[in-house]
Amino acid sequence: MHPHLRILVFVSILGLITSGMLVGMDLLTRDRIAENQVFSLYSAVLSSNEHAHTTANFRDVFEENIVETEIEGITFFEDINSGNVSFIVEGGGVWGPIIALITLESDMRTIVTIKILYQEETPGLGGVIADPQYLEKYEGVVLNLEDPENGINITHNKTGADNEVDAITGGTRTSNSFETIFNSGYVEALELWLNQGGGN
Amino acid sequence: MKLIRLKYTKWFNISRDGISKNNPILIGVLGICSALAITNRVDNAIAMGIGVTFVIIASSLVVSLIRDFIPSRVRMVTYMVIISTFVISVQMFMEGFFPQIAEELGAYVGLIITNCIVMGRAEAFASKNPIKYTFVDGLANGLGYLFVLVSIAVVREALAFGTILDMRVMPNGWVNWTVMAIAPGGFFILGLYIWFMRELSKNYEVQS
Repeated sequence: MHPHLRILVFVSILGLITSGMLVGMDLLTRDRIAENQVFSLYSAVLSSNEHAHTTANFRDVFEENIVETEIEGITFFEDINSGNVSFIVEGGGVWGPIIALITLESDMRTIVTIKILYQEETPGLGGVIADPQYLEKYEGVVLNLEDPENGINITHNKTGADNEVDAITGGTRTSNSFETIFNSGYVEALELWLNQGGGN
Repeated sequence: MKLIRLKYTKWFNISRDGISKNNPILIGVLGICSALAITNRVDNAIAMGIGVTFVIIASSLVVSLIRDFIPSRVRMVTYMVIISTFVISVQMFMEGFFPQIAEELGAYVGLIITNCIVMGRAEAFASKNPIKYTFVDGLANGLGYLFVLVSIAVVREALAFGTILDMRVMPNGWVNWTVMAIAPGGFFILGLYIWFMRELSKNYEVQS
């Protein structure tokens, strides 16, 4: 066989076999991966509202307790019993995107809890943002409803106002990014939620 | 008697080469990128080590199996395609069955593709040797990598978080060394290990 033809035949066969393997692997794992993604989101919403759940029953618990509404691209999760509202905010951190699930009380200004769904900040410094112990500081903080663009103030110099939270020591840039992400997401969500007469 | 004879078999020599004498990280200084990035926790190091070991064995076996058919002009591309196929499979498998670990390892599972050890073994060993020895070689090199990763991670996790595999090992008053959690800490520990290993094995680079 001509050497060039041989290379062509070899590369085509190789391509066919490897693509076949990948397609097979995709078929095997696709459903599980999709299920895992749904679980990680639902699980975050459920634990924000303190509903016990497992990987087996999370869909049932979710359907019993949470109403999911989508308004102009933003998904709101409302707890039927307490009226707590959860929504996702996202934006750029120092090294990569930060995605957080914010849960507010029905007044849309008191923070119930915050969960970080994704972050790539420096471990040990900005990465503290995903630490549950640090996120506890946000619980009960009352946001500034009159001026939602400054809804939360993540700062090293607290003055005693209700909307202030300690910034991360050694993670000032992450803290600043998170403040921006939080406030811009809050402004957007607040407007949509109030305009749509949410909370009914 | 049996033990002495074992020392001279090809199996033994190949294994010793991969695990200690020509350890891919400590002597070859290959695969450093991932060795620095994911060794701040022991569980990540173990998962990464197993992933890389699997990819080395699988891709080397395939390369060895088809080594007589690979046209030499496209051999690098061939290795690359085979390695990527296995890496993507590992990534899908982890996301499907171990989502927690996949999330912690992040981009580094995909970056096994660029791990020089895998490509190095395919070109240096698998393309010239029969399947049975290739398997031993792949396993030995993978274990050599896993072993170094875990020994770096044990020190880093203990110093950076005061834990090993999430079990508390440091006394209560321990102040975490943040530097050990980020890349420079990995460099320090890896540098010390390379120094020790070369001192032990008298593997000096002499200028000729």
